[in-house]
Amino acid sequence: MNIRALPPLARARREARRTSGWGGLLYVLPALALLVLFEVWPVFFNLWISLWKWDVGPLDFVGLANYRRLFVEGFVTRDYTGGLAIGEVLHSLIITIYYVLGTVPVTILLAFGLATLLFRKIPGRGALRTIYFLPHVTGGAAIAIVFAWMFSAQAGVVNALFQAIGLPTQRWLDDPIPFLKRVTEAVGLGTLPGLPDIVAGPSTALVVIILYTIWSSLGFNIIIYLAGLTAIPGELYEAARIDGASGATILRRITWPLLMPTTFFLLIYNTIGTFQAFTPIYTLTRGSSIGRGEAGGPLDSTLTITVYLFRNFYERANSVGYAAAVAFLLFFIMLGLTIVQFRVVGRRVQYQ
Amino acid sequence: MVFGGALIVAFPFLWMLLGSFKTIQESNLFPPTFLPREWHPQNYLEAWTRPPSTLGRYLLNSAFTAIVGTAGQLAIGVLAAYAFARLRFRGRDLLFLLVLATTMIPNEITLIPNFVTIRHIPLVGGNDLLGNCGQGLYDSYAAMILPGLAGAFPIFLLRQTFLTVPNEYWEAAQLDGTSNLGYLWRILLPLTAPSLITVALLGFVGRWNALLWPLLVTRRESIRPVQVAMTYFQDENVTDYGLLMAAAFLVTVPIILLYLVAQRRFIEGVTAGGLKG
Repeated sequence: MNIRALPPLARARREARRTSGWGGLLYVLPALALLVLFEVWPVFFNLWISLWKWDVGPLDFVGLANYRRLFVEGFVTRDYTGGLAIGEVLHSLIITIYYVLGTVPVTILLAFGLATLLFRKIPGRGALRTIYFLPHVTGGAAIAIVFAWMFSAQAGVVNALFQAIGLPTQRWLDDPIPFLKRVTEAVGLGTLPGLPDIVAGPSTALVVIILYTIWSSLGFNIIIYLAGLTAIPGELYEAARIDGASGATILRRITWPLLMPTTFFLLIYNTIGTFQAFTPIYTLTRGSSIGRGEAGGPLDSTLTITVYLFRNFYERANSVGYAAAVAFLLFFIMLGLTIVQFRVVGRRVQYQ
Repeated sequence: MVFGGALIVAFPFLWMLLGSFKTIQESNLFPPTFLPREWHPQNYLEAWTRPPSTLGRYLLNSAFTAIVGTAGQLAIGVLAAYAFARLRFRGRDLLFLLVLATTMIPNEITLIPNFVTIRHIPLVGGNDLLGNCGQGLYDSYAAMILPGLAGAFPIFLLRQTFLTVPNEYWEAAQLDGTSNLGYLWRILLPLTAPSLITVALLGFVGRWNALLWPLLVTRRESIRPVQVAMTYFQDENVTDYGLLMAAAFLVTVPIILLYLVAQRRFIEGVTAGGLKG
């Protein structure tokens, strides 16, 4: 594939025939100009903006004040009684982690199971794959609105299902209480008043976002697993079957370990996607009857770090510089994940 | 398990379609009806005409930004990919590395600076030569299209594809005295059409579904894309689910059709590197 893979002589011969000098630069100029202006330059420009109090334009140069707000008050602050409390940034990071933990492992395990089943020659396999993948391409605000109706407290089909099977109906997107407490409530253990909400896992509203995200990314994960499955040599399975291994053993001892690089790739890829998710949260959480009707509600219980960045940038006055500082924090988290991902992709290619 | 799962995955689509024919009263019944008791196709007419600037206009805006953005990305990407794959010039490998490195830059960090940059493009939107005084490209189609116009992923994917085309084609073209552009246009592009379609489809769908950036850089109803319009159509008709479902269906159906027609290309593209615009 790569031109460098050719022997040096062939490579030189091949390249000598091409235009040399500066001609080729003309071809890449439009792409490079745009990439530099809208991808590379912003990294530096964002740093500059983050040193300012900035609204529509720069107001005051404040040095590292935005970073102090981000890393000091953002993590530990004082509540109205004067006691120590969790800051906005730490709060958003915790919400984001709940979102990732609620979404990614479930998606990956479901996708793995479904991919191994879809890999076999079962009737209607093509149609099934089509259905599973469909939510991945329809991922806009429009389809998220369907979830707003399905999980409506008053008219939702999910609550109807809950009622039909004898479970207590929920307020879903209007409910900032941790889902765990709703479960303990339902089984008669009460709402655990001693346990602060922020450490009790995702809110009921966030659970809806999690379910939407699993629904929408499952197909992508299945496709990637299917690609991985085709790369496993059939002889391995035959040998195992001759040795008398059961289906479950084959899955656990052969398929799962051999697909480990794929799993690891998906782990990072999904984590990045979840960190960056905006559309479902914006679409599903503004309508909440509790709070200010901003994305991230109710009571900020779905306020992930990306939505927090959006809120400071777009919905707060004079906060653009601070939002830029938040963007930098996010940048370093993403960069760390992306670097890990690149290493894994490299390894994945070698396996194939 | 596979069939049950598929039913669950397909359910929101079915629910959207059935709901789009329900009256406002019926869509708020609890427990809900499955099939509409009385079919109410008027939702579609109303969804089409009621938003501030009519759904047709928003759909057109989305189609326009998605098509122009995708075509531009393809044109720019093809030229760059060709040069990186087949031409020899100073600094080529270094520049290609730069292109690859931009995939490490997450969107979030470009959001605020690009917003400021768009407002300060010189000599448009009332701006002077230094990009001040006016609003630049803010609130224009160009603002929605420009920042995503050059993607590293399409360049990378197209370069890989171009490298797989045997050298003999080029040699034969040279004997006929074909220029670089002529070879690219008449021979290379037809040969690699599947990859081009893949890149185009992924680019189109990503742009059609985009919400955050168009929301940030536009204000006028007459240019906003349909996904942005959906969010306040939702705010204005909170409980008229029948109407919302009809609108959601009209917005989603172009993508569904595109996907059903070209499913293989989609899946190839996604396997090659994820849905990045």
